[in-house]
Amino acid sequence: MGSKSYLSHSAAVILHALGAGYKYGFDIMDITGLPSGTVYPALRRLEELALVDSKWEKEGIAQRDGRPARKYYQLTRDGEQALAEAVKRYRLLEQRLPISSSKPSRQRG
Amino acid sequence: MPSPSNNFHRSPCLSARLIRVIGLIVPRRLRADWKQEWHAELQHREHLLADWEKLNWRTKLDLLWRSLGAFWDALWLQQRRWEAEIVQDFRYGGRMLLKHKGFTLAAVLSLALGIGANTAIFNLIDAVLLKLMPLTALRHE
Repeated sequence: MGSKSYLSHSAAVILHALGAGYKYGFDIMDITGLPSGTVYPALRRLEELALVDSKWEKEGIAQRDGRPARKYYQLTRDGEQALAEAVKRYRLLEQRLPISSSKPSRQRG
Repeated sequence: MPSPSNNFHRSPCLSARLIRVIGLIVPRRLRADWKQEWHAELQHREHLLADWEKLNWRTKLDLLWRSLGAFWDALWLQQRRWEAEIVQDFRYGGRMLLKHKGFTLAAVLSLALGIGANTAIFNLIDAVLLKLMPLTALRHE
């Protein structure tokens, strides 16, 4: 668990966005304002640390829209714990991304 | 994880082409999933923007900018290529050493002699030159 205490601010912001229900890479970029070159490598690293889990959306939804299935990310139990620690550590996190209590009102993914 | 469907990789837009090109540097075993993830996000966003009637040159430029970020993502994945290749190199080296026992013995003996000779020479120089230097009154009190 030592690795979780070294979460960068960007990683904490991304965890926070995931915790708020923004589960697709582009949605995370929209809500955090972070560039894709930061979000995706961070997601990969968080997945390696087992803080985040990824799955493919159902093929039916993708086929209906005529596009490939999207990959979505969600917090693991360790990820939720790491997020709680990150919120304590980065006190401005809630102010920067005041979305911790609600899921996105409009499902964009 | 379901196997990625590759039959959607047909988007003619510049972003999709860029992803296809950048995908060439992604390790082969991760490439299909990687491309699908990026293509799906770009196409989904395009559909969304079209629905909102906001698919104009500005939003297209934004998508292009976002797809450029895929380059950093692909670069980050290079470490996984190296991890896999380093393991393969070590395994190959081990197999070759076991196969050519004479060469292995010569290499090990050469290394042992080299390290031993260096240690011996250093010990000699240390005993004869360094420790015997007149450096007894070094205190500056």
